[in-house]
Amino acid sequence: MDFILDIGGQDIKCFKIRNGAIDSIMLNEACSSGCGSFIETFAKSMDHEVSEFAEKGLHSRAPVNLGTRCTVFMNSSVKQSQKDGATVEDISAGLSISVVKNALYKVIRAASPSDLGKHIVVQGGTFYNDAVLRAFEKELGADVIRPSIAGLMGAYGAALHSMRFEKSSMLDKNGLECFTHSSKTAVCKGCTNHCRLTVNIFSDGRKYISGNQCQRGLGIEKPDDSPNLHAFKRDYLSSLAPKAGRRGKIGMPMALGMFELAPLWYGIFTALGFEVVFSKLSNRRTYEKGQFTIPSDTVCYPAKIMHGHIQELLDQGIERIFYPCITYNIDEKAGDNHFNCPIVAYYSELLNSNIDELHGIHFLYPYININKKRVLAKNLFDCLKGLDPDIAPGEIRKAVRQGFDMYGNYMQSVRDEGERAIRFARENGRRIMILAGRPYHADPEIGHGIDKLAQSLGFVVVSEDSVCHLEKLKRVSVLNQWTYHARLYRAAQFATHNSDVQLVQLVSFGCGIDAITTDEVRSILESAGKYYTQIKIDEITNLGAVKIRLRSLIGALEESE
Amino acid sequence: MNSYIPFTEQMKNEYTILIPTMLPMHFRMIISVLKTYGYNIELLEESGPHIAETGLKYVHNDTCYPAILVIGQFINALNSGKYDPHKTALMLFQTGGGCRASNYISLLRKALKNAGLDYIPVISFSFMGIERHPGFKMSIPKLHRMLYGILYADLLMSLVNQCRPYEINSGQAQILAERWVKRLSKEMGEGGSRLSYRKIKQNYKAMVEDFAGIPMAERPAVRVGVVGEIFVKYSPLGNNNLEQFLVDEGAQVTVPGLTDFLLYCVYNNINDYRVYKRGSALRCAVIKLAFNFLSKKKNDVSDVMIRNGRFEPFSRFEDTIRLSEGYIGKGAKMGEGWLLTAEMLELAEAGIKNIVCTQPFGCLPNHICGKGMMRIIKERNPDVNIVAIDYDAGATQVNQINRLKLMLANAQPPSGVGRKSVAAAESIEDKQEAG
Repeated sequence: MDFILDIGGQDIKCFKIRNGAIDSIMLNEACSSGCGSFIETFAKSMDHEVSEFAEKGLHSRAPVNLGTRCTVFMNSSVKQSQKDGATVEDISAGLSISVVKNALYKVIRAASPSDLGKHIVVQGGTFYNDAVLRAFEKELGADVIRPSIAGLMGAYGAALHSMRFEKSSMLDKNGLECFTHSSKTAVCKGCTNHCRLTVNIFSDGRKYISGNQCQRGLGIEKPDDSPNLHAFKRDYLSSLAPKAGRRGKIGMPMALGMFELAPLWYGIFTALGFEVVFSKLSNRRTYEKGQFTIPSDTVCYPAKIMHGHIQELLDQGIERIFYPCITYNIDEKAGDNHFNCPIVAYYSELLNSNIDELHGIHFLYPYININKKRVLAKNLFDCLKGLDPDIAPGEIRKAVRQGFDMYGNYMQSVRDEGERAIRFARENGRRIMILAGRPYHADPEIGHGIDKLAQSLGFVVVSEDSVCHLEKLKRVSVLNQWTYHARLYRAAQFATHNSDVQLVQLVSFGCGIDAITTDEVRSILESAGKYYTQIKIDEITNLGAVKIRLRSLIGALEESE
Repeated sequence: MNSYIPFTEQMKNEYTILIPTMLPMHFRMIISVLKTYGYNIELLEESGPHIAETGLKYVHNDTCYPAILVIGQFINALNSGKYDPHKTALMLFQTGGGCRASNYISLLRKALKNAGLDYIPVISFSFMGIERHPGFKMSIPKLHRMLYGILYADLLMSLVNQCRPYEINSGQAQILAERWVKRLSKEMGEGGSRLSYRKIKQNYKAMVEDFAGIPMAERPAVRVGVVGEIFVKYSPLGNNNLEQFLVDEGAQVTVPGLTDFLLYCVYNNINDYRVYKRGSALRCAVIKLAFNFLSKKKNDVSDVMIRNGRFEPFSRFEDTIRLSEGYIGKGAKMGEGWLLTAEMLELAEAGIKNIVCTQPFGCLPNHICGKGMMRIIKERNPDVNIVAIDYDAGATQVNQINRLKLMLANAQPPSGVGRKSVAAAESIEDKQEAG
């Protein structure tokens, strides 16, 4: 066996097998266009039973091309092809091809059938559909094995797995007859995050709680004290308290690039006698507060949430807001260049043209160079002299030095904490997870508490920027030109050199740049036989799916040990 | 970046270089210039849905659509049997910068590797000269010549667009343009080392006069401008034949020329020094000279159009720069950056109130410079009617068409006899008098 593809149960799972063990796992992103129920829905909407619909697909002469985008788009493609006179046969075949292409080119990312190996097994309920099977074989150009019990393979697997345990916790006949279940919702009061919990209560008094982001929600009192770099960063950023100053308040949104540069700006502006007020770390409300001024719906969640942070500052009556435009991020001498992504770099431009209230206050978003202290001081002088004509260049130069000291200390503390986390993990025999993304993925709302979830599953969580300094820069096969992303590659290299370290990459929906980084991070990890796990996140929380993914990672790790 | 296979002096004589088409007329002229320097170059003009399908196999599906198309086109060509892969090189145009498009070269090399074709040299054609290829060096004379190719093509594109909705014999303007492309290509190919600017200006004049002679009818046409990410804005393969669709709907289309993009790239280098103090003062001074030179060359074409009087000339780039002020900072230089915003404003100022803003699905800079600016543009120019259209392999044409039709339905009806139509009517009278 070289490869198993399982489509069903609302997702796509792919397992590459090497020497009888799972070599890598690939799961689809949170998208429904790959599942069987999707075909079923279409079959029903065209007044066909799914089996009959599949049978028709086999006789198609010219399958329609429906693309591999989400169901919404597919719907209009189907309508268009109906209008163009496509038959049910052609549509059925077209849908099957879409499912297969989605699996092959989006999930597996195979360029040629040989990537999958010789012996390929397909399973899952979706493969009961002969048209899907045939489409897969045709697209691959190879024959595959479909067990006659394709839809039950998972169930058999679970049964076989449970046979390894001595005692079954399955209810007996009596227990089943008296079985009752009730559920109620509750709000966790463990911390300020206020997770919405669903508490399922069974007849024997046992409870199953879901919706929690950490163990506190489960009623486990003693919080895990293992290091967690994401929590470390959050704590640090929350500690930057406003200090009253002679020049009055200036607000800064704690979003996008601010997540890393906050100490720099805090240092500079506090030294200049401004009272620096950051917006709070986000929660769901933050997003909702700013939702109405978002012009582009396909932009990433970290950008969308920025609108809420600005709104929060405006609602506080703050009359000066600072979020600069930074084309070139800090040069860490770790790549071909050191850009910010266009969104982080220029989001202020968009804010300015979409939030009217900003026109009534001083919204400061100068274009600045943060790599030359002298130039930065000049850039800031040009920007701030409008606020206070008495501000002097010398004063700013001094403040800039102080700001950089603070930023340098912060980055050093992140690296120190990263090293401490690794020592802690090794002393306590815990697995290490690099929960890698961008600095702003540490935000509790953007990261959806995945760091805490990983912690509760036994990992010591570090971030990409806390370990990348432990690795020398190696050449990568893409243009390595963004500061944040260059850290990802080094963090991945670090994982390949340390057997107790796993890397999980957080990717925001709509992040165009991650279309490039994910392939590269994956190939760095896989070149050393490591698993690559990617979690795509946006405004929709689905920790359940994340949990499954992290558990399969743990499962695969245990299996290979 | 990874080590790459250089394009050697020897390859220059033996290899065929393939180039994907972005702008058909422009690229044909650029190629004819390069051919005079001894390169065997071929333009890939194949289109169809199979291009994207091949691309999707070899490129991450969330990568921008132009990369998927261009790489699909390359791989298809290499697999077609038409070229000996061991005697073929590929060339891509690059501008560099913080947009992910700077990664096209490495994406292409990855794709070639996956296709088992990693021995094929890839030349990145860039004014910044990121890589060294002994067999393909940029030189001032080469660039100088290409510039005229681009200016010729910009002029032809503008003339064709200004004739198409009105021509009495449908397709005549396009045929005339083809004839000019052939003639100019030949002329540039034969030019040798001599380059006569007097002759070039004579050509401009002759072109404008030729197009003014096309019989045109007086008929109202909605005016629509097209801006956006450079590839999908220009390439019919990338934008599902957007221009043709608009013309078929009876619109007069305006697409800002490629010279503006060059000016924008050069201008950003000046700004880099001004704002960030990147590079030396001397370098900045040299770039300023280049900018003024380029700007003057563009205005020379405009002047020919103004003198003839039949056609709307190009806008002046200084005006384009000025128009963006108060909307977006000139530091926003990734992708099409501030130029995109400026072009929408430039169109509005020229009375072209209906604008299609095109981008590949998920184009990062356009979130800011395109979609992000629409609200403020519409607020300050209430009669402007903008629609954003996303292109990618999964998007359906029917969605795009619906959005375009909605935009056209919202368009102010063309005011009876437009400026253009008057000119057109006169031109017919002229003909009749002459006859």
